[in-house]
Amino acid sequence: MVEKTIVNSSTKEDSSSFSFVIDVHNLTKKYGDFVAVKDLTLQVKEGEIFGFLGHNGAGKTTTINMLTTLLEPTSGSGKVAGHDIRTKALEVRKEIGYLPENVQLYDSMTAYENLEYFSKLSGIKKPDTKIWKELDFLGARSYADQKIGELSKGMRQRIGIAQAIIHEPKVLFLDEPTSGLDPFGVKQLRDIILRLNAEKGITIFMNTHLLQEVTKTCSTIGVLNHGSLIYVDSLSNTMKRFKDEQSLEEIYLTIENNKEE
Amino acid sequence: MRSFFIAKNEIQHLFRERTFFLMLTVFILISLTSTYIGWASQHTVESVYQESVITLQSLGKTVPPSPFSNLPPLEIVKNMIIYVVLIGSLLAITIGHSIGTKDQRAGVVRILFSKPLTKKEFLIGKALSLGLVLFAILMVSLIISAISVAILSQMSIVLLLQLIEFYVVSFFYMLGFGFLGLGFGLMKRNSAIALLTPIVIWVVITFALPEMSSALYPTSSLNPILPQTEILNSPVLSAIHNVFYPFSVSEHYRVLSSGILNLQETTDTIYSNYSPIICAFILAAWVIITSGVLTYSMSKFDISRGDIYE
Amino acid sequence: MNKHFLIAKKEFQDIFRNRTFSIMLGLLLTLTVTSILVSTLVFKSQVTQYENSLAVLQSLGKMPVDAAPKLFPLNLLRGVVDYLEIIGAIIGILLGYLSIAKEKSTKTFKLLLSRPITKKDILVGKIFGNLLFVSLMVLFVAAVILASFYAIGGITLTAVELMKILLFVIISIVYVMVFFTLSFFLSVQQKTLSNALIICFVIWLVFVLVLPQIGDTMDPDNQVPGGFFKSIGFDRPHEKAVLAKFSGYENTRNFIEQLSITKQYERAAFALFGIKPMYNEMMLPEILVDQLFNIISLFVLFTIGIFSDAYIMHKDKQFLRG
Repeated sequence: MVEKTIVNSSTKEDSSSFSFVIDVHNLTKKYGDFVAVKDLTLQVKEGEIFGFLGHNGAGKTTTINMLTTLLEPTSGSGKVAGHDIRTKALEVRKEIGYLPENVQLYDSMTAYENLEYFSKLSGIKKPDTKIWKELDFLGARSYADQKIGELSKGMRQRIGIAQAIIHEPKVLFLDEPTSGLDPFGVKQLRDIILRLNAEKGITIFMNTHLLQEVTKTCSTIGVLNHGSLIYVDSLSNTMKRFKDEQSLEEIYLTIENNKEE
Repeated sequence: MRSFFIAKNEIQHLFRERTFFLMLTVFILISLTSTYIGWASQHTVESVYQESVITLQSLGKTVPPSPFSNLPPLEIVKNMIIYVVLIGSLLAITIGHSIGTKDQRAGVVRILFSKPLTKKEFLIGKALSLGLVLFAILMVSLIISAISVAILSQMSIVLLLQLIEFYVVSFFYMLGFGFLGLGFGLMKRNSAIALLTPIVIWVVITFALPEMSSALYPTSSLNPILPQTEILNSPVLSAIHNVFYPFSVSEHYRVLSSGILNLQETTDTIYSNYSPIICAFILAAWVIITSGVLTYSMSKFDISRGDIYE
Repeated sequence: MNKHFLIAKKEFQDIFRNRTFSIMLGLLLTLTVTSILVSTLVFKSQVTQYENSLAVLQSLGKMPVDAAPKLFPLNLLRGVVDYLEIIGAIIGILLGYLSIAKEKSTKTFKLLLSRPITKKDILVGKIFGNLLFVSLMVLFVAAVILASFYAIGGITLTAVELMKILLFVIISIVYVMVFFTLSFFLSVQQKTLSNALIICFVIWLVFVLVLPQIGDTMDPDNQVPGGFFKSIGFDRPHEKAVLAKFSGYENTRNFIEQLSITKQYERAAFALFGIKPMYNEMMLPEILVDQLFNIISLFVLFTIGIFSDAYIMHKDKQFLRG
């Protein structure tokens, strides 16, 4: 039987030597009597690719909404990119990029027009060069003049990522980015995420169900269960701890089952 | 600055919507035909009077003076008052609704607010786009009316200023409805309910309140010249009038507009209208109250919403 | 038959679950009932006034010079017609919209069709359910008229007047259902429901309000409060003689008004209620003959509406896919 303690790799070393781009303590969100997220304490180091796992309705999207300042926490505190999520929401937003689940953009506008609009809202006065640069990075230049409504889901995903990174954020939040993609699209997205992290140094915080992709992409994983964080550790430590399990899927199910016990 | 980008984006989007063009076309067509209809009916009626004079003279009866002599030059524009009340306000609601629901329909709310954008900037941008579009539409209508009056009647600087003043008042009347369309578009989770709610309010203001406050028949309030009505002079009806009349914004708009255009008295009931100054004050209150609704709607606007609604 | 009944029953029940619709319905009924009550009080006042004058004359030993005025209680129902033509049309639009909106938003149309029922069955059930509701609504208005006349006005209607009210009920139901079929059609056909609503309201605006308003504005008699011809002392034959010289203008005006289903309904209803005095002197069959075109137009439009709805249900694939 696995111990129910949460292991956080940051406790093993002097935390002050790392910079945490996400640092939250006892973050809670309640809707009336329903507790969506309960006492979430979590640190994500700069440069990590953090995979946030959990069952449907576990509170993953609520967590991301709080970290991206879209939702006011009921209690608790937190900082993203060094700014308080409750009192410095605008500062946080300058440092983050966000791609929600089932990426939606303005269908009647072209890819370029969408990017131009969101860039200007991000404070980029003349985004032209940056737009083309990100479109090149994502292999989407030839789609710039096409309306979003005409693009495939995979390409819309890329344009969605482009709007999220165009202002060079420190942290990129991705909510179920592989949702609805075919295997080829999933691989392409994985490559993009790895390149964003390796080449641009962006920290990635990713909600996902696709455990196969977590093993290929993430450096650290966290597991949320009914609003409570029940597990956090690096992927390598996790694989060592659960060496009896064949795959991350089995590890995840074991963690979830132990929580329920 | 962000508000400006939002406003620009809204206007660009609006001009890609078919329903907006449909309503705009109806309004422009009506503006075009309004002065012509006014002129044609005035011209015909004068001819009818002349024919009636011939008949009266042949019967040896005294000829009453023409009720159409000394008609003000802007008489032919009088129908625009009704069309602003009917089409203009509904157009404003539609535009407001379209602007208010656009981001939710596109599902981009979360992306928008993941940028350093405040709710205040967002709202100002939306309101600004609404105001600019209404302004542009009324400018076009003003130009059409001015040219039509110049051709069919007579035009002078004074008359032009009266026309401009009328359109300014019309702008604020329509703006109030636009705020309602925008506000409910932001507040409500269902796009169709967001449209229906201001329409219900519009029906109440345009038909129900005038009826309750003046005991007129509802379709009578659509006519620039109202038939005499049999009004029961009773304490109960007077009390109903006193309660509802202050809220009858469409009536005050009509009275104020008629005064600006120097048109003849357009109501004929036992209840007298408020003075133009009070009407103007009530219209100002209308704009303030509806902008209050709009501001309140923003507090209800959930920026963490991800679902696309219908 | 059972399937139609089941669908119709659900349609009927669903109507009461929508709050916005309930508000509109409440508004219509409140205004209509108020109008009826006020009209009844006006009528009673007129009767009382005459009786008081008569009593004064008789107490002075005099007889009235003129015959007792003919009072036609149905004349007072103009407000009812106005409200049904404006708000009743909106009710029709909302019913058509709601009927489809609930299927589209929950994507239940596919579930329905996975049962052994056809699109035709669904259409028939929906139309019947809504027809029942509209009928009850209009009958309620008629019941209020009768109750108000009897209880407040002390008016006992003749058999002919009762027949006129019944005919008014029938054409009112048909009129409201025309808008139901229009809204139903657009709600299926349009990609988004709010687009469908906007188009419906534009059509409502043009055909219910603008076209009749243009017709009224162009009417020479409407240029003076109380009537131009009355102001110069003209009777009907002289009025007609003068207007005959402006037949082109009058025909254009009439044509514009005839384009409006609302004007057709209004003319038929006003004729039945004798809003224009000439109809008070006519027998009911004469009135019906006079208004045959308007009455038939209503039924024709309703029939076209039903067939259009059947066509769009059959043709539309997107709605089926959900």
